[in-house]
Amino acid sequence: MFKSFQAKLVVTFVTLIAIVQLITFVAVYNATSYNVVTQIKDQLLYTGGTFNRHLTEQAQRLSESTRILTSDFAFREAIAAGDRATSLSVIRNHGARIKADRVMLISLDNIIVSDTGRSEQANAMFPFEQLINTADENGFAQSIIVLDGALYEFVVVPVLAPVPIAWIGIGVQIDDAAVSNLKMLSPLALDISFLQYDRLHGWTLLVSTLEPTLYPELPAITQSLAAQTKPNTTNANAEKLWRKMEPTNTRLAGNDYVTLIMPLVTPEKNPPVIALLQYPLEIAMGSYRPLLFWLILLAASGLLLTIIGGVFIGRGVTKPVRTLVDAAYRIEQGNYKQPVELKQKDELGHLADTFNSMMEGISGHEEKIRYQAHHDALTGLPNRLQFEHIVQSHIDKENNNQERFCVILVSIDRLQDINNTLGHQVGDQLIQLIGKRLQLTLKDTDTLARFSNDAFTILVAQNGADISASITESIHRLFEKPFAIEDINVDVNVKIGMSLFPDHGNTSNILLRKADIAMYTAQQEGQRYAVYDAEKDTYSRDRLSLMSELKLGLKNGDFQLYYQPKFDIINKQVTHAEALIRWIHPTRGFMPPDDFIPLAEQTGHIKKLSLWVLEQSILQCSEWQKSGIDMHISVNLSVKDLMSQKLPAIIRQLLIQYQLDPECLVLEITESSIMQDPDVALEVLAKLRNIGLKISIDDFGTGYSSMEYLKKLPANILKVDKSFVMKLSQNQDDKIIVRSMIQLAHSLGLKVVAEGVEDEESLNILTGNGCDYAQGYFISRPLPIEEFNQWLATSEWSKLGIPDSFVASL
Amino acid sequence: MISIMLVAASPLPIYAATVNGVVLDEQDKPVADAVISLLPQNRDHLPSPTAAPDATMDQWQKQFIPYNLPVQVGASVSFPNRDNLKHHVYSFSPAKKFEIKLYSGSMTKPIVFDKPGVIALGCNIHDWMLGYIYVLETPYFAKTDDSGKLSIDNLPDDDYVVSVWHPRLSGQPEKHDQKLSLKEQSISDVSFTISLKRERRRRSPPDFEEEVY
Repeated sequence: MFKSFQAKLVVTFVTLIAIVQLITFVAVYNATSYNVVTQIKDQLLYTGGTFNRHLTEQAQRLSESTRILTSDFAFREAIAAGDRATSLSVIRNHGARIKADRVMLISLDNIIVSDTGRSEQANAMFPFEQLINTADENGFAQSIIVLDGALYEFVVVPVLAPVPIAWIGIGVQIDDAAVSNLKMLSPLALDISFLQYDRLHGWTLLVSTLEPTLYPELPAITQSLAAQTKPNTTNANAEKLWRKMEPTNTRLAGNDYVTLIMPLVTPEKNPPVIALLQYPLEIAMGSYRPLLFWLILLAASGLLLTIIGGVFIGRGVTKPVRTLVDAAYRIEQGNYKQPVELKQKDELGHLADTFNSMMEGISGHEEKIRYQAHHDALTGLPNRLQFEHIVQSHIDKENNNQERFCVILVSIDRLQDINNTLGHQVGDQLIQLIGKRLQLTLKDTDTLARFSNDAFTILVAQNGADISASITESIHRLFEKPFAIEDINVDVNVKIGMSLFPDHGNTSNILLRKADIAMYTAQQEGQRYAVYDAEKDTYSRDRLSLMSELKLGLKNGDFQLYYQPKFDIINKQVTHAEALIRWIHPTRGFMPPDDFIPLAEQTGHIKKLSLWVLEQSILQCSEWQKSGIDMHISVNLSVKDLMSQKLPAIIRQLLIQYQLDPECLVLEITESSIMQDPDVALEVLAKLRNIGLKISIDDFGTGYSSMEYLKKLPANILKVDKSFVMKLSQNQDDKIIVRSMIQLAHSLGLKVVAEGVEDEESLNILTGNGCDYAQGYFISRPLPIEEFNQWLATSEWSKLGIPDSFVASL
Repeated sequence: MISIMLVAASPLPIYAATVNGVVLDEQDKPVADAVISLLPQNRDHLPSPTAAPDATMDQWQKQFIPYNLPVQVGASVSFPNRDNLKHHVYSFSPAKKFEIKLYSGSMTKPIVFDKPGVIALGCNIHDWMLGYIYVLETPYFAKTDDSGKLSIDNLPDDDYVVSVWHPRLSGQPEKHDQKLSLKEQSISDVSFTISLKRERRRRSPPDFEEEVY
């Protein structure tokens, strides 16, 4: 229901206080009311007692007066005289003396002889015989009686002359005035009502101080209360009974009254008369109204104060809590820098301090992590990621200044060997030392980084290619002295690659890549350093995608074999052709082998190519053979093919499959590819020779071969590299070299093919030197099969030895 | 109390019948001051009122002495004041209404009680003083002594109605009447059991502070 903590706090607070106040108020109110009512009841009882006593005293006084009256001799004489008129006048007279309202002269026969209340002198019986009897017994009798509907305090006394000769009954009426007087007796403004009971009418009202409008209700009230009493008692009993009376609450005309019912002494067997004492609660409570009012006011203001106080306290609590919540939110967002401002000295302040130290901790950790993310753990140098950033920032900076810088990659030779030999611990120490040494060459503007496991990079600012050599020299000099680790001296060689900004690229990525390529080039060429040369960059994204295209191309049949004939100089015929792969790329168009063969060799795709070439060549050759043409085919193999032990088996399988005589197949292998791993090469070649096919050593003269290997090679043919042949007619050195080569080959029992014959003169020279075959543009360029067959059929060069059927079939 | 012997003063024959009476209350206790009277049926046996003997009602020590004075009708009763203070004797009884102021030591003319009945005497000055004069038609009566006994003799032969009366007799006296026939020199016993009203008033002078009742 309540979302905010502040609201919850305030509401809880206020509710609690409200409950407490409510309980207090109710308790006080009830206690007060009870108190008031109890007080009134007590007062009522007290007043009732007073009232009772008053009535009794009044009666006693009356009886005393009456007795004095009746003692009067003249009175007695008059009564004894006997005549009515006299007695009536006497009693009236003497009654007036004592302020009696009614006087009766009663004979000893209980006949009312004279009665001041009646004008007619009927001889009625005195209705209250019991009073006579009591008077006879005790000398007097007093009672409350109702006579002719009026209420009297009545006394009966004997007229002693000297023995009772008659009875005098004297009554003082309790009328409105008398009742009002009675009312005055009490300190409370009591209302007094007298009611009489008779069987016929129930309770009837005789006299009351209440408003006449209330009269009708009184009988009913009396009825309910009278159940408690047993009216009609003697004096003694009345006292006892009276003490047992309990004031009760009654309702009269919608108001509450505390009511006390008082039984009055009446003659036995006469209708009971009771007095009803009532006190309106309203008045009593009235004096407490102000108290209640103040109580309510206090409660209300207390509640109000509580609400206000609660809000303030709530705020006092929730405000710091909110500050902390905000701080927590900031932390979540990753902001650890902004401390929590909470200056309290209490728990919340303590929490804020904890938050702050937590944030500091996290911030510290973050720093550490960031540092670790950007630095090499071992050397403490920036790592590759950081270096890239630095390079990039230099690029961004240099863009404005047009300053130059270079990126140098320092690769440690054979680090893995060192690790394997001396252990990784030594290796790590070595790296650290190298890092330290490299740092010596740095200027303030330079940056050294550990680029990879075995490479460092340096950014040399404000530099051009012109002083690149000196830098690399100075770096190399660092590695002249061995590194001392524990008790070992380790010699370290490095290869350095360098790229320049803005010459070689304008992003750190490109610059680094090119530095790496440069380093690789240095490695390949056996140099100690190299600056990036675009021409030597055989790496390009283009090339990478090319490889996947190659696979696709193979599948799609984009590859074709072109055939270049070899002219048999001696026999003046064409019996050999070299199969050359050509790629008709769907988007790039015609792609010469140089564009994809080297890359294929590097990636290993060459195998697929070679296999394809082999298969196609064998197939084509077998076709020729089947057609009656004695053609032999030469296929180029890569170094990778050469290293494959499976190769001989594959070729044999193909030969069998296409039913080609192994003799018809020549495998051309470059000298340098053999020299990559001569021992393995020899093994494979031997196996190939065993199949029966021929081996041709290509690019002879350009590799690092030694005579020793040449001796061992199971070769049949030697192919002179075109670099020697193409300018043969002009170059004297080439003539000598070529002649020597031919002689050498012949002396080893090898046939010689000269590649790159471009003019007649070259051919003539070759012929003069005894070269066996010639291949080149002068004879023919490589041709697709249809054209080749055509050429074969029609060319001068091949006229010899071509069956007519073949010609006819074209 | 002494029994009073009645002496016949007339030339009537000597009557020898005697009646012994006793009066008891309902608790069988003897009742003193009770008067038993015999009323002869023969009117001749009633003397004339003038023959009634005199009687005296003393006021002595603020009391009427005797308390109960039975007299024959026609008797003349004197009221000597033997106290040293004034008494104001009165009676409102229908049989005789009178009042006499009697100074100390004085005595006024005796009063003749010519009607039978009960006369209650009071003193206006002294409320407690109470005495009775019981005026009877018949001369044949006596008052009981402390032992509740009396004796009446010299009664002529006749049929008598025997009555009893006491000042505090409750109820009608007639209901106690008995019939008695007397014959020469017979001695008869009569007894009465009567109920008495409570003695509610003091008859002796009170101490200074006390009330009468």
